[in-house]
Amino acid sequence: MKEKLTIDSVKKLYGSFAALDDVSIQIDAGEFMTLLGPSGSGKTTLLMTIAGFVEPTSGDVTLDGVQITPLPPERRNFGVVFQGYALFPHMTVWGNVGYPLRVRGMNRNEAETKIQSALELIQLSHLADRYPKQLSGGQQQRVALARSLVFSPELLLLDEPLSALDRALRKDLQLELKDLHERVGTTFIYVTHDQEEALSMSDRIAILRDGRIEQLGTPESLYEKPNSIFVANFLGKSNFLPAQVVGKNGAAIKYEVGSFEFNLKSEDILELHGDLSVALRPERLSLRNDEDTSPTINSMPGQIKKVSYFGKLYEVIVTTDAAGDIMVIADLGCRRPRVGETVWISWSESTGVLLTGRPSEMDDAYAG
Amino acid sequence: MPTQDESLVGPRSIAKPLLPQNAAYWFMVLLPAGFLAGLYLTPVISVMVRSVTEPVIGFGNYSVILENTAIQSVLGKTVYICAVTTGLSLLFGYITAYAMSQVPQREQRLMFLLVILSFWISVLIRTFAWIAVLQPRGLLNGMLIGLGLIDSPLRLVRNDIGVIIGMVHYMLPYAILPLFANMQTIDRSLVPAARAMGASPRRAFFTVFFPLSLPGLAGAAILVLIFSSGFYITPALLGGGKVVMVAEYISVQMSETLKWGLATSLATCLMVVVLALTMLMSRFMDVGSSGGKTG
Repeated sequence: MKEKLTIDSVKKLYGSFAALDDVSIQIDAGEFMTLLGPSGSGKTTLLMTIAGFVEPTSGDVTLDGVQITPLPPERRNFGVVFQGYALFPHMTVWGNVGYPLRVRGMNRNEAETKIQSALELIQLSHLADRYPKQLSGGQQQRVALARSLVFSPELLLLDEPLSALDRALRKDLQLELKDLHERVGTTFIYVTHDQEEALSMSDRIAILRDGRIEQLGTPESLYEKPNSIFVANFLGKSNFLPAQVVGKNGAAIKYEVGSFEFNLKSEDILELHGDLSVALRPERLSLRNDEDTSPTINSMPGQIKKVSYFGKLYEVIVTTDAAGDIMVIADLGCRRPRVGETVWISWSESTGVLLTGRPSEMDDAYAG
Repeated sequence: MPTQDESLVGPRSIAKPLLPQNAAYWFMVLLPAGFLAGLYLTPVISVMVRSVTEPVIGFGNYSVILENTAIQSVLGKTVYICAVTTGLSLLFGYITAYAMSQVPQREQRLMFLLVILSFWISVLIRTFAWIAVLQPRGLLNGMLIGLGLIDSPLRLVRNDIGVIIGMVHYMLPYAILPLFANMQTIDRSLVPAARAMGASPRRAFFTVFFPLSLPGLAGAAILVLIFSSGFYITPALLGGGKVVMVAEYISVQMSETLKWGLATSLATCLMVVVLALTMLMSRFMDVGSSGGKTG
């Protein structure tokens, strides 16, 4: 298996509404690619375009250099796991898993072996005679997976397959899916609106917004180097501090938050204009008591407003004059911070990203 | 502060008057039950009694039904017309219901309204309208002759064709509604799922959608069969005396030849068939499960 899927400037218009607006991605063979975005961002439309249910208004989908845009879904040989699993209620687990083989006219013996090994893959061989409604949600989910993998599809497309399950089960199935992906080696294209799922399973994530790809990259690169306030906000939690670039300091950019000066080491060439924010992950900030040594560079004072304890870590909200409330998640040992206490927040020169814009306009897209 | 109030807002005020509520419940059940017993059950029983007492006590009327060739041919005609009507109603009803289940919500509501709308027009008016359309010098024949498609008018009334057209038209909503209700319960992602797995649209329909719509089809079939077996006005008018179905035959025995015994025994047979069909239908359509939920 070495098929490479290329989506080349695909556009899908519904009337004047662009569900997909000039989307291009290359997905490598064997990759676990996640399409992540809020509802209405076009992620499911993109998945259904790949599956063949949505015909793009313009643009091409090619598999290994071969145009597949005009092919109907049944001639693409892609596995699709639908949101509600779409198991056939009038067929047993065995019948469901065998369906793709029956429509391909595979002979009985060969089909039986394949069904058997697909059921073993998901560890449900003992439930082969059950009907879907006799299974739990997690079991139905696994049957849907087996059914989409039994015919060795070139790609497996998954449309929010875990969204109907409860939280604990979702965690287990995330691990199982990731494990399954490694065992079968098929390319997985996974649609979700859950950032945790995306971060924990994917090789790469494409973040969609309003029918466009906002950013594409590995989970780490998206988390550490978001290129917009939207992405920084959608993946994990961030503090956004109003910042002003005031110059250079060797390899570092010098910026100010209020009257405090900070350095940011960055190899990236930044294209910044207008209002700027510095995005800071709460867990990358540290707190120091004001009785400690005198303030150094890259720090800023504030007063503790709220403290929550989560076992090992404290979540502390600090009110600052320069940038309002800032959330800090830190391991403070056994010293419980007191509300009203004056502290210094500091972060290293490699922490933070400078982004164009201010977060207020993005409030409605906040996913945390 | 709340400690004081708690003693006042105790469980006292929640569930007290059990008896008056219960009495009202039984009143609501017994009133219609008494109504049915008086006005419905009594005449039905008297029909059954007459069938074995007139003109003499015994099962003479039933043996006439089994032997008389005229009655046999009426029954045969009834079965034939009912079967054809049911078959055609299911065919057209299935197509309509399928279309209704696939179109967007706005169109679906409009189609639903159009189906319901036909209930508002009485069967008598509809039957006369069909006579006006189908008779030798009616709308349809006039148009076909005018277009030069035929030379002499087609015979569309006073025969099986007329009766079947009229009955299918009347029965269509009774086929469409149970079918549509059933199709609404079929998960819309099943057919796409089948196609993603390699099934052609036709194959996906016949292996997935159609089997899942069978309960609806069975329910619709029995409903149409029940209604058409007792059909009176449409066959009487569109058949014009040439196509006699059992309901019309019973009426003739009652009001013209005054053979009440024969008429009531035929009515009893019809009732038994309808009851049997109803019981069969309740197995497909959850008729029994809608009642009895009091708690």
